[in-house]
Amino acid sequence: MKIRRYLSILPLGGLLFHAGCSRTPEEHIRGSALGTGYTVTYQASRPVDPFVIKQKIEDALEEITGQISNWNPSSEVARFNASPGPFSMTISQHFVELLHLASQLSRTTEGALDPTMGALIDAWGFGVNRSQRVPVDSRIQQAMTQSGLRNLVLDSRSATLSKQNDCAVNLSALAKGYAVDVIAGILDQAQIEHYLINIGGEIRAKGTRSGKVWEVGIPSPGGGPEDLLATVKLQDQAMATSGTHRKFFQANGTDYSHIIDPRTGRTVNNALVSVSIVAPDCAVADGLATAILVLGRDAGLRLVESVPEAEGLFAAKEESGELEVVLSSGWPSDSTGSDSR
Amino acid sequence: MSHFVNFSLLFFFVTLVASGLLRFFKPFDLITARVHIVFGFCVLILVGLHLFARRHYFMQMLGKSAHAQEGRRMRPWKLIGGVITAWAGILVAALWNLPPVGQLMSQSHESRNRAIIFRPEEPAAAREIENGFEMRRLDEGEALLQVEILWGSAFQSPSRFTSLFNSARPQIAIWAESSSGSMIETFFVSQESAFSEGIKWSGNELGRVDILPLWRHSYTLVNGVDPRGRVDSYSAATPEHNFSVSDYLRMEAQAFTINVEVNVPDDMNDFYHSDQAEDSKGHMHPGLGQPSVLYSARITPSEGQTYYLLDFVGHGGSSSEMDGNVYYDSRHLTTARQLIERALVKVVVQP
Repeated sequence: MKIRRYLSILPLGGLLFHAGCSRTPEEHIRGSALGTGYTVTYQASRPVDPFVIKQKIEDALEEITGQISNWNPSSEVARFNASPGPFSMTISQHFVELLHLASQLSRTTEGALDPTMGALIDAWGFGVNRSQRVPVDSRIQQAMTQSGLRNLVLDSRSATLSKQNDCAVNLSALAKGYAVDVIAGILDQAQIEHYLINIGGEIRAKGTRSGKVWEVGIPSPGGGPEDLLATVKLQDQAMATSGTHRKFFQANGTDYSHIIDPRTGRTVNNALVSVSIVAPDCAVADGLATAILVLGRDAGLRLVESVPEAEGLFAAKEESGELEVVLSSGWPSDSTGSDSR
Repeated sequence: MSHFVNFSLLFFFVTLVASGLLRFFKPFDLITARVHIVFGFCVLILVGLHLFARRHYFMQMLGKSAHAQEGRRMRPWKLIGGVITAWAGILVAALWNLPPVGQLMSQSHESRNRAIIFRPEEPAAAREIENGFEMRRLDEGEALLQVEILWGSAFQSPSRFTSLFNSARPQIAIWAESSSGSMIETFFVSQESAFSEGIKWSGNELGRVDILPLWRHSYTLVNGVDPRGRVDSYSAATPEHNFSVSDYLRMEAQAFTINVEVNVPDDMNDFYHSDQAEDSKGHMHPGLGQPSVLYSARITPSEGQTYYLLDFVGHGGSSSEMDGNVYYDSRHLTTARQLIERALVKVVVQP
């Protein structure tokens, strides 16, 4: 009978209708890039093939690495740095964008962030050679003459980067944050409404996770795996954390962190051990976090308060060895974290 | 014969469905997979016999028109065309993961737990050997990483747990860490801990973070999943290293650490047991007994050494401590110190 016939196709119709309407289950993608690992968790309102998304992410990361990775000898940055000045070369999109952003942040931070301090990084052995040591003063002075934005000229129209001396570019201070933003663009283009991207601790979140705001933990520096300094609720925001406790070397009983102050040519030596920045873009958050480690607590706090939509959590080691946590005035109120200002 | 086939299909098909549902909704299990495959073959044979027995029906349907109920004439080719169309549509949907197949598959345990399921890299393989265990991780050229464990007197090999419903198998994890303590690669994790965060272990519902806390916390760096589900992700200063041990199996590579963590259920002693106060250092969740034990060896490729002995380092802590830190006070460990007699690493690096 007709009714029985139509009844028999109802379950199939229901399945198709359900497939079209509901949020798809969570997908997880992970891999490695830029010397660390990445994870992408996403959920869309329509099926999105995770293998296709992963391929797009891997392609983008390979493109970024091929342009701005100092550890890839065939990258544009590596080739630019290896060529003695005077030298000019045409550079690609990611290189141009990242250099622009780094230059802007350098001005905003009054030189605490400098994309041209490749020579200083190499002098301290935190670069490709990895021969960490305390350089002699003359070596530092020489590296400082090669550093500084004044040594670079970028012609945005022709995408040509020029240098007159042996200036070396290093964009690693905000490379991971930038890569996070690029991946976010890929997911937005695929019309994925809910996602969390993490590349080596630099994070960007959009939407929610099954209706709940994404929650991100900030581990306590030097603490165990379960020690959290704070938990942050991220909604359509990015977060980046920089610290001095994971990359450093010891010489003559002194710890030398991998964060170098471009203004002095020496590794930083202030109380800050970890800085987490929340901002709309991950590249900005990444750059600010590194710059604030250079500036120190008070100047860093003034900087964060001056940047629109940026908020910060600073962890500083007091003389007693205790950890002091300082929050900027607009730090998300529904996040956990102690304020001891 | 047809009665035999019909009734057999009833039983065999129901078993196939049951094992298929278990495989779909529950973590991977070798027993379930084995039952499903075997009964799949049986159903295949029975269906073949059934179709053979009904061959006259098909010939009749294809040979002349058949009359449907209520006197309407039914054209067999219309019926067959409908069947083939439905079959082709579902096949295409299954091959290309189109709706609603994608939606259906996303409900499986594998899809819902992809982030937490561990599978070793292809060139890594593990097997039980006589009174021991061996893991081999091959690499380019002749580079090799091999871990050989000789079990101690207190260890009962998983192969001795022949009972189908015995969930008391020892749990083992073998992994490499960089010199800064960040996980490089996991080579082996026991089946139960590999596929699910929650495990029924010796009759008790436990988390794998309770059974292998040191490995599970270290694994968070790779899969980004908080073992206790407190947060969705972590933002921390970036640990810089590679996620493959291949980069460490070279003469000029940096030093790294090989770790073996082992835990067996119900090995309580006077100090570690569930009756201790919950906040005491000896309190353990029911079913756990003594904490997991950790054996490690620091591998320095540039030294050219081939064999390294793993030393006992510490343990994963009691239930009130299990925070991923290694605990070095082993005064109260008894039989847990007798789980491993000897653990040896063989390292062959690329020149």
